[in-house]
Amino acid sequence: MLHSWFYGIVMVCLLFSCRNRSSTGVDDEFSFTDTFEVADSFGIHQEVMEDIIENLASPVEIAGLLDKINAPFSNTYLASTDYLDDYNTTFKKAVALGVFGADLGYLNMYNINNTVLDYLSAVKSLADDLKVGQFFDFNTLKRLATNSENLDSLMFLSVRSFNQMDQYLRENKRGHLSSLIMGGLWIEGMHLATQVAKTSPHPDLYNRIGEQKIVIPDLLALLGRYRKDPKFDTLFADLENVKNSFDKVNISYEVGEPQMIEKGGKLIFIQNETSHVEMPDTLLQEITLKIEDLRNQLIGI
Amino acid sequence: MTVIGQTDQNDLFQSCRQQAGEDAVYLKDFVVKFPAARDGQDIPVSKNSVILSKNIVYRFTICSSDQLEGEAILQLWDDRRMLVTNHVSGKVYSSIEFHCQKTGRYHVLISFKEGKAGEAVSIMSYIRD
Repeated sequence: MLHSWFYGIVMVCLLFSCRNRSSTGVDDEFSFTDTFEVADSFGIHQEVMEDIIENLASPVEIAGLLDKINAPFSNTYLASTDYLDDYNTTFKKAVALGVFGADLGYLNMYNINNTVLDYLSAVKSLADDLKVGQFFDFNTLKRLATNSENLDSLMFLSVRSFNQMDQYLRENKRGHLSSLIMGGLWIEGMHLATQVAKTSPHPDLYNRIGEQKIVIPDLLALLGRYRKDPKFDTLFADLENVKNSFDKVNISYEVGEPQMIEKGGKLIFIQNETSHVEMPDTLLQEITLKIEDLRNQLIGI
Repeated sequence: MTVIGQTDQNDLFQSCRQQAGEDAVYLKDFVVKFPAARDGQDIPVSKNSVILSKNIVYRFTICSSDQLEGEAILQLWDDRRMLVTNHVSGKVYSSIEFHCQKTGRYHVLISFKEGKAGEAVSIMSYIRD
């Protein structure tokens, strides 16, 4: 009796989740719904999974680091917006949205106004196709992009638009798209970092790349929820291959007492527990190649 | 967590963004609203996990709405312990800076002092060198 009640509830839930999915009109290529998959993934409770998915990749921080180490700007690192029409599936559109989002952060940081407009248009077009274009106020973004004095506002509005879109997707049972966008952001962020490391090596950049050993399991856990779909499964396997290389990075920790000071009415906390990254050059090259292959495969080069 | 009215939330957000300072580069915001905790119940807490990177100074700006009584308390935890809070020795600070020396997953917990009803926005930024 209990079993039949349980199955009845499951069936009702599945029916409702199917209805929700089809109402978006863009997810039809996937063979699951978020509601179903969350309960089915790794046996991890949804609350724990939600812990993982906040702010996994911040292209602004990576771009800020590249700027800080005075790495010169190069548009050769960027994904071309010429092939936008080739991103003709929801999967490709979501990954590309992440990739172009990371490139947009890079362009914003270096204040490359003329090219920013192309990437804003690409982001807007992909977001519209995924039915999340409402989060990008293209006219305001365009106006800010054409006035170099508004760099901070442009950066702020770009990042906030992505955050709001991401929150909306997660709250509306479209977390699989959010995970693909995050995957695209992370992969392109790593692509930018590893390509810059070839020409502008710097200890901070080297460390930031090596530290992704800590981040990549979270990204895999996020995408792993949807492995029943063959495209997710392939992406997961490709990222596992990247993780195998990151596993060879050695990170050691040194314990220290934290320091808390009050300065000008502000509370400042200095963490003295530090981490050290050891990554031979050959391993960095291996990671660079794997990231490059995966990224180029995803954007169709 | 409940949803704050859109206009109030936007006003609070814009005010908080200004408070964050010109040297702060916006990364993320956390919006929280809780009713008063009932007697004998745990104080409600919102929890968000973020990846923070070594050698970056993060600023958390915490802004409580004046429409409700509660003052927002933010705590930053790693996987083992609380690292920093804006509530120290009875004083509630509107901003805390975290000089991160270890890349990893951290947890941002927000509640309201003494479990009073409150609404708040917290903006996470990094400080430009």
